[in-house]
Amino acid sequence: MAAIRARLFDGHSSRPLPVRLSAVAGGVDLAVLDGSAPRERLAPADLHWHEPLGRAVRRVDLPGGRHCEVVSDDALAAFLRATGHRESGITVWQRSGLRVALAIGLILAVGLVGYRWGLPLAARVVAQALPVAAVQAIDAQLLQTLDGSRLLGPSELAPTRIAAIEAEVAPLIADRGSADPVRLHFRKAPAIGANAFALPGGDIVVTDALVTLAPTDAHVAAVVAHELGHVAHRHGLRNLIQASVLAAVVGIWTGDFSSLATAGATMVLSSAYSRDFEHEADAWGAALLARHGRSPALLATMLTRLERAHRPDGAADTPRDGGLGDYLSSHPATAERIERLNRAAQ
Amino acid sequence: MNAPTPLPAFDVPPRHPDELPFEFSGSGGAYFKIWIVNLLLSILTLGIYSAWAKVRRERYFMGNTLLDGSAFEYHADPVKILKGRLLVMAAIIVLNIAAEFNPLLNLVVMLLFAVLLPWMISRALRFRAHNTSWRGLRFGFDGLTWEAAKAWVLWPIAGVLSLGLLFPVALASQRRYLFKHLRFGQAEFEIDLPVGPVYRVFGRVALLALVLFGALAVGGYVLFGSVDMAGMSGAAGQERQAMIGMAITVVVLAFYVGVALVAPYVSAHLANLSFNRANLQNHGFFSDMVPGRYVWIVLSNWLLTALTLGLFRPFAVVRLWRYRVEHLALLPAGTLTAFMAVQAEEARVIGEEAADLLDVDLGF
Repeated sequence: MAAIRARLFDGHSSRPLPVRLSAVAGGVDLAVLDGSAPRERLAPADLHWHEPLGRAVRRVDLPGGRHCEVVSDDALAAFLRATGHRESGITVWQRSGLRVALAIGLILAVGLVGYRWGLPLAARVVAQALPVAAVQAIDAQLLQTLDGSRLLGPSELAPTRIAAIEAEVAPLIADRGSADPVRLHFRKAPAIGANAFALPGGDIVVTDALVTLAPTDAHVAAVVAHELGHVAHRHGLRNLIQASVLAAVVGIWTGDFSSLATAGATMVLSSAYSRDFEHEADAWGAALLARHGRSPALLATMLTRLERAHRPDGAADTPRDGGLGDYLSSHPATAERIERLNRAAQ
Repeated sequence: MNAPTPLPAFDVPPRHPDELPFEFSGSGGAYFKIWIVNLLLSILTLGIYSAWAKVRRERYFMGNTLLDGSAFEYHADPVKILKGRLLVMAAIIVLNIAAEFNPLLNLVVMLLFAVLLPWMISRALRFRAHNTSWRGLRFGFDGLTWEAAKAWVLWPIAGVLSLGLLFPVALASQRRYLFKHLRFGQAEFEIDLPVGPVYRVFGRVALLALVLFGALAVGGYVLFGSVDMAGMSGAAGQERQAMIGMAITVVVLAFYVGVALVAPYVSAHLANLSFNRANLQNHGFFSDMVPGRYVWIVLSNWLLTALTLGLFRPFAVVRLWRYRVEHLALLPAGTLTAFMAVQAEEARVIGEEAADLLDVDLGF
């Protein structure tokens, strides 16, 4: 007959009562050791064993708000076998090293698949579902903030030059297969240097330095075609969604929402996404250029010049190199992109 | 699995030692298994299981924390935790979106948060205390929202306005709030924590910071002083700029590390202070954490967690909890058998039943 000793608490006071639990046919006998209460017969279903969770003391709840504390040892294991107690599935799962290893493997697999395919897919679906008007509201505010900061200032280009570039770009915008509005903004941005970027809602900002860097207006239009690719694929919005989800996941994983580590890890993880976006935008821009009888090589030329301009030991026409982080660092190896574009040009 | 710690023999009369240490019988390895299964199920259920995961985590830590051979218990209902989490998440999303479209709403959101925060704090403390028990008796907490507002909003604002001078007063009033309203069964906790000792802690922090930043300044001068010379002798301006950028990065990093050091240092001191000045009826407490050691544990935990891409986290949590628990003891005035539960009719007066019905766990 399996029996264990335990401490009984009645739920009204903190006084422990030494008891003996014995497994008998059809139930469990509860006997108070000092004889202050009569022997009691309990059905196995009356005993609610708490999850062991690797603890030294295991708790079992009894009817009437009472509970017992039992030492978790071999005697308890034998007693539980004798009463026909079965541990919950999760307890069994946790006890097996193999299944714990399986859990680790599954988490890794879910993490990798989610990172590589799940999150980009979800971000694309959400980005396409959001109404254009809502996204444009974000654009307006972003542009206002940028204009208010020292990053962007009014363009110093000649109005005739701007008009010429807009004329060059107009057919590309008209023919890109979408009715969503696109607006071109020219800004002087010494801290950013030669650059162009698309905001989530279709506003494209071109810096004066980029126009100066371009040999012809057709070259500027080629860069705008690339940015139109970002707009068509809603890369800005997708990037926003992906980065916030990544930040949340990294934050939960490390248990820290406000540290440099979270920001750093998020940046590293999302840089792979932006490389994909650049390839997508390049391909899209090249196709648009080709449809208009223009060569994708124009974009390749601009990439070469941009890379040279952003290299610290750059050529003479380098605009002041700001501390804003290098635009090209989030872009895939420029040489590879140029090669792809030149291949498309043939 | 670790070998279970033997309990004191059940049938001998309780001893009356001068000091009853709190003990922790858990291990990093055992908690790792719970953590990884929790994580997997939380991911597979898109976060819904996280409420159940929290309960299992708390049960593990409470159930392995022993006093006089008896474990603490955590009783929270995961459904209530899930409800609380959904509520908080919905509020955050709605407020964020609203603020995105109307910047003026940002101010409203901040005001609303200042009003809601103390309410959430008092709710969460009540939920947590009510769902913790030892030897079958529940803890209880009946702090008012208004007093939480004073400790977590008004005093910190005063702290900012006084350029940090009143910040220790805020911390002291927070610790007082935590202890003063806590009950175990019918027994009430008391605390006598004047602001003087808290100011002494911050005095030490200021002294340490002075030494640290002084050393940094000297180091910086030795390292970067030469750069200025190079700049004057006509080296590339760009190179000089890069060096200045690097110096700024070093200072910012040093600031972050400094803050990361100060927080656990102050937290260890405050825990010692408040436990050593608190009592439960005639029973006292004794906490003797070494702040330097505590800082080391927090920092090395952080480092190892980063190096293992998060896998060390369960071990880190256990390590820190074990240190806290094993440096805390009860100084009993007599036997621990005389505590009584709050009776049903008294519970109604205190509002415990309403708490059980209405309460949602709001995080923390």
